[in-house]
Amino acid sequence: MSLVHLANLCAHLKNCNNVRVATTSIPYTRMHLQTVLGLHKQGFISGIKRGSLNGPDVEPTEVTPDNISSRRLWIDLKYRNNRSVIRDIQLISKPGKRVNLSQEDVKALASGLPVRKITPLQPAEAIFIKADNEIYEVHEAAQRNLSGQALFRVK
Amino acid sequence: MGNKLLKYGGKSGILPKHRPIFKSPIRQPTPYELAEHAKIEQGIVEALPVPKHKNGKELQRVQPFKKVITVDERIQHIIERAAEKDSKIDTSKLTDEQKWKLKRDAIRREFLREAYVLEAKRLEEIDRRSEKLRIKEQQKKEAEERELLKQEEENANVGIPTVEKLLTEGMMRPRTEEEKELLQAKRVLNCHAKELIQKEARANNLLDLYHAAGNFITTEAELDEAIHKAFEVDLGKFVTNETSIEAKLQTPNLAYLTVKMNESLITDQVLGEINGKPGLDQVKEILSGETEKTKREVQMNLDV
Repeated sequence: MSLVHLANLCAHLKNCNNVRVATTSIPYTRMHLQTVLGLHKQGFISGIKRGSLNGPDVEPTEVTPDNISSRRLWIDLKYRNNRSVIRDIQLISKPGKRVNLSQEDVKALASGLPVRKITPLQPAEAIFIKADNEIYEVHEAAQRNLSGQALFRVK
Repeated sequence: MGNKLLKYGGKSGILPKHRPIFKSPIRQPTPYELAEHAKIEQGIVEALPVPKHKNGKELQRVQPFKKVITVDERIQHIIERAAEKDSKIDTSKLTDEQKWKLKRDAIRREFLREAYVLEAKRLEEIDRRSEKLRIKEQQKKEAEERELLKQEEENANVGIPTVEKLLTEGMMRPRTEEEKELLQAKRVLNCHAKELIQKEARANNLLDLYHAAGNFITTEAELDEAIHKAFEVDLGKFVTNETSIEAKLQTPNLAYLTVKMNESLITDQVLGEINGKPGLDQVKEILSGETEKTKREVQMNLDV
């Protein structure tokens, strides 16, 4: 899982929100899919669709090694009262400085406590954690007694 | 505004619900009504003790259906029984007023019977209509559900449920064995096609070299001639301007040369020749004996 790609995704989402884009496409990878599914579950985006470089699929298309290069994930961004639902999205771990959390750290973070340099979780904010090659929201990770790397926070 | 009006949202002029003529049901509940009744969660849970009524009777855990009294039973019980009772009275001993009372009771009973029958008819009609409406609505609901299911099936292939499935079932379908074989065959074909082009180009170059070998200097006389051509001083270049113009006019025109060269290039390309000499294709045909064969066929055709 590349933090650089994740940083690119965060920057892309911010840029799209700044110019009020309705739908945007991101690379078709497992990491991107997990990330946007997490955002969707938390209600930060309204939809995820499979598609190609040209746009979301009208007819279902099978992904094969022949067309994988042109496959994209199309996400529907959310706006309310002419303001984007995602106010800010930023990395916690950086490629040069990764922040690994123990089970206790994860639970503390989920309980609204600060952990090292990570500021406490605010209302309407979500922190995502990578554990066992999956991406979990911090509360879910705390419920499952997981430890892992703090990836990004979104509010 | 009294409290009674508040019940109707503070609005006057709304009539209260009329008192039903039959307080108990007049027919057995339909299967649909039974099913609907079964859906209602009511009653006292098993864990709790059933409270007792003031008179000491225990309440029932689940409220039972009301006892069904059909219209005929009702008429029999209320009207005909009273009529039978009245019929036993000896009217000869009664006063006019008492007789009139009996007659009035009979008239009232008759009216009541009519009212019961009419009400029963009305309820039947209501049942019939509501049943018809219910079936219609059910069909509409089923059609909507079918449509929704169809829509969901269509959306499922591009929407969230399928997207979630990607994580468990894999994001890409790997190539099957057949596809792998086909791809390998394509790659081999491409490789061979490229090799062929390269070999043809080499053969062309070789043939070119072979034709060019005709102009190579091989004898002493040819060498002398070539040296003479190369180093003989052209006096025309050093005379006055006028003579140089003459010399220029005499020399072949450059444009004319270019055109001629282009023409020769085009003919070479069309005929598959190299500088007017046989090209690779012609050589191949001769070597394979195809030219000879064609010539013979043409000859035979002409003879015929």
